[in-house]
Amino acid sequence: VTRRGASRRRAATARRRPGLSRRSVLAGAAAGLAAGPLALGAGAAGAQSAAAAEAIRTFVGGGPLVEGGIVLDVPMLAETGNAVPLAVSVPAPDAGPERIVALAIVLDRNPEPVAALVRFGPAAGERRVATRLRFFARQNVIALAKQADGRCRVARRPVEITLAACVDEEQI
Amino acid sequence: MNAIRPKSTLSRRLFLVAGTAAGGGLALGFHLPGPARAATRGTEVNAWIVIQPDDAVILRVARSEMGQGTFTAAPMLIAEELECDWAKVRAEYAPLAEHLRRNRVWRSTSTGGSRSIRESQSYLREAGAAARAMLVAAAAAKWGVPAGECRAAKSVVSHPASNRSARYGELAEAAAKLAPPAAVKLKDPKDWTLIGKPTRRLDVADKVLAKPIYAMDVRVPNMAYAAIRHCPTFGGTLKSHDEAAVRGQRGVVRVVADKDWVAVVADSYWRAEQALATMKIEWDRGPNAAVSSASIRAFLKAGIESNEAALGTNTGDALAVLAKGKVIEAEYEAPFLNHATMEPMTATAHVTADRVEVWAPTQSAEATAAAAAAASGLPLGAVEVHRTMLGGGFGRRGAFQDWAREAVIIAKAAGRPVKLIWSREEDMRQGRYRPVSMVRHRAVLGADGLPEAWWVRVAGQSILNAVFPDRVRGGLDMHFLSGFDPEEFRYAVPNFRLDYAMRNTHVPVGFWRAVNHTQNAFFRECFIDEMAHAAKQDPYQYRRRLLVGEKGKRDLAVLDAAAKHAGWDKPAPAGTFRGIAVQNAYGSHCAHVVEIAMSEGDVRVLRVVSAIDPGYAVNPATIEMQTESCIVYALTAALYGEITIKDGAVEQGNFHDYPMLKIDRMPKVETVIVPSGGFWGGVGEPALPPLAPALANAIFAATGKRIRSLPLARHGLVKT
Repeated sequence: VTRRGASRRRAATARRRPGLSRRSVLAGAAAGLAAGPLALGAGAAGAQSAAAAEAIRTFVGGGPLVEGGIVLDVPMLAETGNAVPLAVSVPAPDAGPERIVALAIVLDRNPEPVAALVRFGPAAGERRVATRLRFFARQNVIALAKQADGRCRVARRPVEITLAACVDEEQI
Repeated sequence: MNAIRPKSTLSRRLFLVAGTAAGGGLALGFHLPGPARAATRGTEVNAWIVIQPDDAVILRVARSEMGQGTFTAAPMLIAEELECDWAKVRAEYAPLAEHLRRNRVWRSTSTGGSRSIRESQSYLREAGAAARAMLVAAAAAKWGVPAGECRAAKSVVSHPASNRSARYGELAEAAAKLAPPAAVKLKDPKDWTLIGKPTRRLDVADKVLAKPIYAMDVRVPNMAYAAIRHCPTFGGTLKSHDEAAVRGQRGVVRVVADKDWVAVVADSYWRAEQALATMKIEWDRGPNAAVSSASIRAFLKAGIESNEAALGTNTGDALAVLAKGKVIEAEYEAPFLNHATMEPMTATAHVTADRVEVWAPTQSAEATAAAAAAASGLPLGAVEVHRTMLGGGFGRRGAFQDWAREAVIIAKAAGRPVKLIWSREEDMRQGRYRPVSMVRHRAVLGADGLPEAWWVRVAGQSILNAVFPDRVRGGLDMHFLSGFDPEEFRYAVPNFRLDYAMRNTHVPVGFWRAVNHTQNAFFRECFIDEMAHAAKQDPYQYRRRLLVGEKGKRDLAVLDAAAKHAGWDKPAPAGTFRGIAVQNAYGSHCAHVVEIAMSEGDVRVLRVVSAIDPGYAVNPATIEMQTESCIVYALTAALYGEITIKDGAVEQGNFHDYPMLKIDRMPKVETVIVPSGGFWGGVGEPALPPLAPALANAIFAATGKRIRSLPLARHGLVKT
């Protein structure tokens, strides 16, 4: 089963709405997990905000952080930040210490930096997530994939929002 | 389908281009990079710098040249550190597809917000310094001497101890093979030899020869032309169009329709436009068909009077002081304005199964690429954007790529290259307008005549709310409050309250040159004059008393420089009157003194003295030009500029009802550059905002009449 994440905001909206789709139920579940207490520790993976750094440390949870091992497909440029398409896949075995147990997508300048948090159960056959996310600004997408052995893979890609260029960052 | 017949006559520009090519010069000038042009010959020392064997240095420019001088100033920043011979420098655009392939190696292409220098200066200078270090290292290795003993100057590396030297053209290949230095040390500003010197523009000679290609000049093989009509009422939709009626018309290739526009593609622009004119089009004007300028004004006025507004700044307790004191009150307003670029919106596109090419006069090649990818359904890697010269930008061709998107959609439908040209009327009626806004000031003066309390209530249409809603929090758009916000409001007022009642209309708004600074400088600097008048103080001296300490020092310095140069301490010449204003914007500080003469119902601006502090002045020659350009644009708006709404649509259509400044009304402009150093400010916009208030203040000095709304033509002050 591939679980799909979504922003907390969207998940919250989904929870309020009657007639939930399967996707929004799963998103709601993921968001619920994201809010759960996790241990502090480890590095901030080069995040640009304190909130993002904190979220990353929480997700990593003290295990070693290793670069790579994640395929992060996100466009270099987007016209607006309203719905930026994004796909993340993590090549990994189905079992053993390198099995992927969780995936986090962090947008390091969003007011709510954890855009998606996905847990993979032992029966998950594919570690792949595709969604559209709302971007507050030009920023980095930081994908983190946690292995069963506690090691955490990290990949990051900057995304330029071309419309944001007309706005002085310091005025916001 | 009609074939495009070959043109029987060459335009003057095409002829000149062809003539140049035949003469062995640049085939198409440096302005039309594309597949037709071979890759730049020479050695790329780094992404910004190519050196040819004959020492010619080609410097890549990432941001767009739209007349503002970036094609000269950006290379100056590189050349200063590269230590190359400026006489051998040429500039060329960084090609977009390669830019994306190389992971945005040339950084941002965005050209707006007066940022081409201030936001690129560090990496441009570093690129120059890194290349210089590599050239020196290559020479040192060749001679077997320590690099520290070598010097670089005027495109030559020398080793004085052994009296050896080598030209950059000889060293480039070896230098390019070296690893770039991990860190570079930039020159101390006192050692600059190029930055700060008035420098002749690199693009003028070509412009004189009509070599640059503007979007309107683009021709590609098998190209057709498109004319377009949009629903006149914003937010309306296309209901029906009589496609059959134009199908058989001579030259017509096809009709392309979208949600709120319809376009005709033909073998010439004239035929496309004519077919469109005869085609019956029905619009569903939607819910805004009754909106007028009067209803918008009432809507904003309600914002001014509303009990609810988002708090921007609250220093001290302005409301308490206002409740007790003698209140001075005034309301100001500013209209919608169109960019009205000389060249209407135009772009050429060609879409095939796996590639999309756009020839665009864009303020951001990256924004055009993102729009082209989205509109074509192809990935970014399939996009090439060929940048043409811009027939004016002013903020219309950057963030908003509606015109490029349409060109791509139409070309995709047509299955061949299409040049989309908006008519002047479409350009006037489908703008991204400077928002309407209104301000109410309430102030109480202290015993010294200075404001003890000042409450500024702003009402108006947020740009960010439409394009970047996440940036508007709790109804507060600080961008709308430019000039009043804590960073840019430098006056010492003990009790200052600033709040904003967002009132969004259906009219699409955008980033008009200097954006919200333009309305807010008018509102702020005129009311400062009103307070000075109420306090019976000289408006220049009044400002001086309000600009205190570290916070006020740079505004004060430009104010002093403008006043001194204009001779404020002496009475204005007989029959002339003066006004003054100051504003800081885009990191620079600028003050104007405007001198006018009044005759019956006609104001003549005789002279503008403008003082600017951009921190470091890179090319004083282009700073003067930009100041003049800002004054032309600002004076046009102050005298005539007004977009009005009727039936939800723009009423103006062309230059007869949206006039431009003519040469007989151009004042003498005297630019005083007072760079204080230590920071990098922009120069493309800061000289625009102080013009309208300085002019309105001069009119008060002449007539005793306060101008609280624009344009002046509305007040019977401009004879047409």
